Amino acid sequence: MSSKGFLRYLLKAVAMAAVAVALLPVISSAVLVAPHAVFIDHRTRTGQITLANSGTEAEEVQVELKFGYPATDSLGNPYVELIDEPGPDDRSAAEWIRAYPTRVRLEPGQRQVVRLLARPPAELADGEYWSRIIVTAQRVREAIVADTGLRAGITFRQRTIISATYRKGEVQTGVELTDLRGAVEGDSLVAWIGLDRGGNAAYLGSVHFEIVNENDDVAREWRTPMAVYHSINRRMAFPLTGLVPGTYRVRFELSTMREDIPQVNVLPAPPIVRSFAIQIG
Amino acid sequence: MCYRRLPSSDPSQSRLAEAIVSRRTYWIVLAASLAVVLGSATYPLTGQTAAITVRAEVADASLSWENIQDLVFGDVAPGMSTTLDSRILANAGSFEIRSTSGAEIIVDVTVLPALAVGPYLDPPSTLVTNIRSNGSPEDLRVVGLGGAASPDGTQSPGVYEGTVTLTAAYTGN
Repeated sequence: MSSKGFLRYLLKAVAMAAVAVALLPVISSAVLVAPHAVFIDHRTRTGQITLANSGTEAEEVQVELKFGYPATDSLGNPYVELIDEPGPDDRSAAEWIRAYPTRVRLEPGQRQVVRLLARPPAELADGEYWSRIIVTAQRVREAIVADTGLRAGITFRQRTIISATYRKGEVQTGVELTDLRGAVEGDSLVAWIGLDRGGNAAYLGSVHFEIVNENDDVAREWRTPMAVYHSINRRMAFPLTGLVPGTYRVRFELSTMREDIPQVNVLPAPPIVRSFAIQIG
Repeated sequence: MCYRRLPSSDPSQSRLAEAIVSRRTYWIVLAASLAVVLGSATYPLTGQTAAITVRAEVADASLSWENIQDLVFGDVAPGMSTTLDSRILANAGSFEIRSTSGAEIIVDVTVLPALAVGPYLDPPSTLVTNIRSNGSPEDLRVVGLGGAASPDGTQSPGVYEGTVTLTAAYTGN
């Protein structure tokens, strides 16, 4: 290879390396909150979460508590209802659970335990009380280099919202199935589920759908978590692509099995089993 | 979304943008075209030893954000619009959201309408997408955020930056 050719080769290699480096993602900002669901018992009245910065830059993190719970809108979509000023009938623990510290600077690779201390009112009745823990992280910005032109960008403030549950004394839960409908819409099964909670604690469970053919073979199945704090009316859609036309049965089972929460924190309740027919094609 | 002009590199002025810059320049359009662009994806974590260690120690039953890339328009020209497509990860702001398998996470991007004024701005105030976790041991979703920068012809030179709040909420479902 001539010196000119080598130089060209070298320049090309350097350019390719530069492009490769530029394409490598740099996790500049990353905050982890664990666990995603906190359970506090009245006997200990304490809990904790861990914050971790797995990014490459320092983060300023703020922790606050606000009353909230999952609900559904008129279209059946889930959302987290956050209420600034809960009423006396709301089962709010946000006012009397405190986080320490509430502000922290997390260096890259650093972890911080945030203690949760509950000071419930003396006359608190048995049951479950709820809050949401809101962790807001923003990268610490250092000097900005200006230039003579125009440059623009967007940075992100990241909010992570997890649940906090306080349990006192005798707690029990259950649900009443108020609505269950299903129909084929296009290439999907659309199901509506209405549930009212009973007892004095949230229902934490999951829904299992199975689509079985005329031979009782399971053609499709889905499991999805379901929490009921008050009443919900949830719409769910599941793909039916690939199923041959025909008559099927949809088996529905609501139970307190959960994948994402330790079973010790899930209150028992009787399962609900139903089924209905659908026609595909 | 608020947009502000950042201070120059003069050490006396440039420590933190918040201390100096007023919210008087709101010339960038954020199309707010949030899209869940991939069901799952992985990025190499080369050199991220500390990050991996931290994650490994506390990852069980967690919820985390990773801002892989800011939405950077780079050099823009007065009077010309620059658009970044949320579906093209090389250009878009991008995030990875991880949580425990089976957890339901709602992702919400709030563009503050009160701060987002100006002749070019037309973003929706909030976009919501519902991310379901099904993977094992952890699920991962990548979210892309696109937008457009449209400085007018008289925009002063400088570095401009806006802040958007993203929320990942564990529903309890």
